Amino acid sequence: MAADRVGSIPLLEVKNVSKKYCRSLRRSLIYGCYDILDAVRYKNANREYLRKDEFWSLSDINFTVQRGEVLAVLGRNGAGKTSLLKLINGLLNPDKGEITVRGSVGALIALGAGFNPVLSGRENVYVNAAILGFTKKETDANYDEIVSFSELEEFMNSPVKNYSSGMRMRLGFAIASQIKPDILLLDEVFSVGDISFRRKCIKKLEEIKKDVAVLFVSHNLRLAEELCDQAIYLEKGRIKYAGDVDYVNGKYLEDINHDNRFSDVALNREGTGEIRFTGIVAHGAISGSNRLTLTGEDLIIEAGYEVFKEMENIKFRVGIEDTRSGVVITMANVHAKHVGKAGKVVCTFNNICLRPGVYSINLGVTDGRFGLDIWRFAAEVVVSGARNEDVQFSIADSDLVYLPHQIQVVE
Amino acid sequence: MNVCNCFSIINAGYKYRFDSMTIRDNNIPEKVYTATPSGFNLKQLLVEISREFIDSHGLAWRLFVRNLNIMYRQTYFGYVWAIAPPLMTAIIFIFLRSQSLIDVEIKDYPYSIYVITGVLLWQSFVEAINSPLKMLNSAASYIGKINFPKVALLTAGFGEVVFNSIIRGMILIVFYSVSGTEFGKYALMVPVCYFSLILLGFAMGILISPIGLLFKDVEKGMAIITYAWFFLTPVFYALPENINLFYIYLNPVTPMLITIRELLHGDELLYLNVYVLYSLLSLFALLPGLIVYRLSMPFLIERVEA
Repeated sequence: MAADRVGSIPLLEVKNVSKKYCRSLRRSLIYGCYDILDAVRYKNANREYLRKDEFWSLSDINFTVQRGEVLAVLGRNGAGKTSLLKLINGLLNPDKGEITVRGSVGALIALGAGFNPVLSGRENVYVNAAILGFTKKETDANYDEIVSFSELEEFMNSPVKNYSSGMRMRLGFAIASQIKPDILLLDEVFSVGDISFRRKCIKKLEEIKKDVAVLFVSHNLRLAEELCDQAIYLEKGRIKYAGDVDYVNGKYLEDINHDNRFSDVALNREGTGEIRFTGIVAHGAISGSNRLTLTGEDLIIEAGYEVFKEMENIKFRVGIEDTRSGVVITMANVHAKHVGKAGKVVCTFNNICLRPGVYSINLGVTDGRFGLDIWRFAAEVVVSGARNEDVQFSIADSDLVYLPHQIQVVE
Repeated sequence: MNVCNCFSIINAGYKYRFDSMTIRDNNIPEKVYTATPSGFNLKQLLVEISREFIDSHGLAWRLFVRNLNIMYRQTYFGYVWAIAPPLMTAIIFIFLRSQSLIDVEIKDYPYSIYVITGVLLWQSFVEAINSPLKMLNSAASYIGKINFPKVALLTAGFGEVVFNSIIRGMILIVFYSVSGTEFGKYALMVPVCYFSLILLGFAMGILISPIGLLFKDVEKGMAIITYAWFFLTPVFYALPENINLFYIYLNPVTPMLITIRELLHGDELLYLNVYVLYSLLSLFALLPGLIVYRLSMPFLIERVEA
């Protein structure tokens, strides 16, 4: 695919780039003061090595993107995807390495930045566009297109606080999509609005993609496959796989599939300990792959437990939490009159209506008064796409859930 | 599916860099971000900062207009709230003095004018100190996500302070004419001095804003400091004539305030030299302030936005 572009220079070159982060907030702020002092003195003392509580959130990243290429950046939460985009956007400086950016960079990241609730949609368009770098003249020229793209014609004179969050996002997207950058950064932006709006966005991207270099961050593997040519897969700040998007996707899924380790037992765990969960397996019913399922498919969760003190009348819980928002989506409960030495809880969620994304499974067992074992983030489950095309096209990432439905036009 | 196919990703086309560029990308502007500072080049830095100011004037204007728009939109009395606090303060002191609870000796003109002048000027000064940090905080939600010229925040903030100061100036004029107090011969010089008072506050504000964005201590500390500062400045009282010059030097607001009052009434300018010194200093303090502001920005973004 890129063979015909070998001769052209890449618009984006990332070379041996590393970036540190600090775990402790207060220490991070103190380091920040030191770093500012160093920067003012034009020194570079603390960049190369790690101070206490610091770790490499990105390490030795290398890739390039040509004009006309769409690169997917995949990885779990906290793998460093967003930091990478911020570095390329020039918001942060790398601690090691070098990023070369040719041409203008546009980012569809903070949609609706600086929207003020008491100002009207129209006023906010001008402010937001100015923040994104448009002059008044350009905004005037693009105004009608922004309004019609956002489909908010009747609402432009009412204050933004009366908008729904979807409407705000749509307006934000409509403004941001007016930028004509050489390098375009997209961070989970197709989580905007309803299906038709989403399709419109994707169409827009297809339209402009031959003229720009695109970096695309998403949890939605199907969408990545559809839109991207190349992909990198980040794990703990390193590039684990790079190459053709199908290849990387395959590897990513394989990885999740083989990840049979129980998650860290010590963390996220509370309870008095009379009963302890020993492990968890979660998988889709059809695909059968561990930690992986599809929208519309059954999700089966099996959690083993051990009993240290005999108990009566206890209650087991299996919950699903959206890792992004921290919203607990559902909680399944089951009563047990009596439990023996050990056993397992098997829970099947039928035709799960979760949109593609990363979810965590929370386990709990109580005697009605105390938590015996509360295990948050016991396992991470990836909903990697939809069971079939119909479902795929009727879910937007901003939807809370996908509800199975019949819909028809009757004349 | 082929691993070898990922040519353009791993170890990418660096060697192709110069052999055959497409015509289109030939003259494309290039930016390189690295960790290593390229050596201190004051001239280049100043050129960059001034260019950023010039390029961002449109954005600054938008932000300025927006801030004015939102300030009182959800109020019924609107701009009355801009002048209510200083008037209240002034009224309190006028009341206290009328009841002989405080004793302030002012020659030649009414105490009410004296204290209102002081309070309005003081309010402008405090507003100027707080403005840079306030602007940074107001942009906190997108400062780490969108790359825009951050000096526009300063310009917009400064514009707001100047705008409010002009309103205060007009209130002052109204009070003077209502009370029938006459202006001095050189009262037309007052806006210049007023401006340098604002500039002094603003330069200080810029210098503390980067640390202030990191540590909330600065904001809380400034509230206490300005509170104490208010009482250490002759806002509602007058300095004795034979005061030690040391106290005039110690508090830069004092000579400015006194000079402005003297100009308003056509009195002899007692501390003109100290005033000139501090207004020049504040002008020069802007420069390091802007440099620190600019250089610290990536670090601020990194720490503020997780």
